[in-house]
Amino acid sequence: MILPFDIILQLFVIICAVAAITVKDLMSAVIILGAYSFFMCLMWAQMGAVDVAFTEASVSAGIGTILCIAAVMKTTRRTKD
Amino acid sequence: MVFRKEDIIVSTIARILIPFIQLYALYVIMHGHYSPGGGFQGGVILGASMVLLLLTRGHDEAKYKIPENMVITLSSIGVLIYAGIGFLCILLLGNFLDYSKLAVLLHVDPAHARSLGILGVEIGVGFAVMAVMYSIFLDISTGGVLPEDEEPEEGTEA
Amino acid sequence: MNVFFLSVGLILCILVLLVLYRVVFGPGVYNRIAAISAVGTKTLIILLIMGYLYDRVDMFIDISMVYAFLNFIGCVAAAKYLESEKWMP
Repeated sequence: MILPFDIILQLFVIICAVAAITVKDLMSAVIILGAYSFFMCLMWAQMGAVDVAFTEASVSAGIGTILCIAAVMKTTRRTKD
Repeated sequence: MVFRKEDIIVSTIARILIPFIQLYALYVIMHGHYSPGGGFQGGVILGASMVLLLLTRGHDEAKYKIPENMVITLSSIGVLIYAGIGFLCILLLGNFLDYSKLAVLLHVDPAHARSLGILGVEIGVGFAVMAVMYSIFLDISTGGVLPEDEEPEEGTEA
Repeated sequence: MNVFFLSVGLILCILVLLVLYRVVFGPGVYNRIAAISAVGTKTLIILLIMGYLYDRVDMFIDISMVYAFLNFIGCVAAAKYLESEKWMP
């Protein structure tokens, strides 16, 4: 539990989450969620849960982002709200 | 999404990198005891390497390397390995997934047999996860329609 | 030695904050893709520094290598998608 990293990573996670909601372009939102997932992986690693960090990095930041990009291709690229 | 392969840089780099990614995924599966990783994470990395092949080569060439029948068969083989080891332990008069009874077959002591039994189960999980990840990406990117199914429809319309 | 690695890690975090400006405010999607690739390389090193601070580097090297591969694959996927249809905002 390294305290400076904990506070700074929480700030990054909040910035990424707020940015992913307010952006009007769906493709950009998917990419920002990829970065959000990797900051979550860093938080798990900082807490000492190394297996969870490995799973989060490989599944959510890797193949999850690619599947979401393929899904955005099938619909429109501009959100309705 | 995956149409042509006119770009030579990305195609060459993917051709160089894919064997190393698969070798690293095998390392992650085998060292599940000692380092972070295991069957599920190694399977996801293997699936990601196959998705990279599909992205840089297009559908036609990827179908020669990885036919769709093989993908469906591999996922079933993974589940078969997992359940097969479990039922083998039942046949040797133990509980389901009681690996110490496998010591009779492998000629080692029961503690060693437990370690080898878990390794076999992880390999089964790795096969299944790899096949399912690739199959999901294939379904989403083609929209569930095979390219060869579209031609007879155009023939009957014309 | 611990104080040195901790200070290096904090300076790298400040650099990531500077690049996050382009992620949030970048006009268009091309800026965001390039910025996220840059963030990925810096956070790899932050993972390894955390490994030194916990005295077990050999576990954290595995995670760093996995993310290095998957950063590349994600960048290729996004570029393939953007090439197939030229949508300008």
